[in-house]
Amino acid sequence: MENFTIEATKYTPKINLNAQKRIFNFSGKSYPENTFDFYSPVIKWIETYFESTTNEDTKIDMDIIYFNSSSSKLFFDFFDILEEAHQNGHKIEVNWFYDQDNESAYEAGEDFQEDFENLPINLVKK
Amino acid sequence: MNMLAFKKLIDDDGIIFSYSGTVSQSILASIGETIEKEFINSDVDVNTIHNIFAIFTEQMHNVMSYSKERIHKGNNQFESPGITVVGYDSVKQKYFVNSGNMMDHEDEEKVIKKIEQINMLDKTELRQYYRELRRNGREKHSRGAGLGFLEMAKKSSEHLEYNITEIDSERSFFEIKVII
Repeated sequence: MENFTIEATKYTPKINLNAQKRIFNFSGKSYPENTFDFYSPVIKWIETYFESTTNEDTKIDMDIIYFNSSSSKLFFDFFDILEEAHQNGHKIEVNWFYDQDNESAYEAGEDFQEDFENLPINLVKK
Repeated sequence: MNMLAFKKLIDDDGIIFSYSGTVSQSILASIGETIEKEFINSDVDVNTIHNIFAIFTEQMHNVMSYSKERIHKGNNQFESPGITVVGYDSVKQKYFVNSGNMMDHEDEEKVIKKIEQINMLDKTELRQYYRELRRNGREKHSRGAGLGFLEMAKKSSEHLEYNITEIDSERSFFEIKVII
């Protein structure tokens, strides 16, 4: 499976989905005008990835310094896919990075942890 | 146009930054970045800067998506005329972010209901309600999750203030004020 890479812009994160290393990386800001349009190829890639790979470990690093409300919904849908894959036998670990000074980033991580009790989400201080 | 009078008007209201004109994604990103840079070099607390930026972004996306005067630029991209200010209320000693745009009379009831409902909730309830709507996607549409006002309320220290003024038979002017 081919890897997926998008470079960062002012309002969209750098995304690197590596099927060989089994690492997904998101870093930067996320407040596109059309969040669902922007992320739809990402979601499609990830769905195909879980359909086509065996149950190996996958690591997801999310270092998003700012995200708007529609990105928050998108991340929710993304975690939903991850949780389902995890319950189907894929070993998944999510690292949610937050800046010590950024209360809302930490709070958002906590909310995702509570919403996805069956998905290992680590809150990692930068 | 008397620029001195205009300057006095905005200075008296504690306005630090103002913009009136076309709001598009690239303009929003440039202004947001400018505001952020301006504050990063000051002694304003990082969380306050973060909240100013977040509220500004939600407001500008609302202007782009819901203004009665929005123009479709193709590919589900829009731009609209809007007005926005960021300021500091020296009495309350709090920052505020306001914006305004034309709205359709038809949308008034929905918007009022939404804001009034949000204003009844305390911080814990806001966080719960946000998660509930995010989970069930009830407010989701092609251009967003419908969580903008809630996001603003979560980051505000007071109720969302709004005002709707009738312009003509089709349009009203909608303004929202968010105090951080």
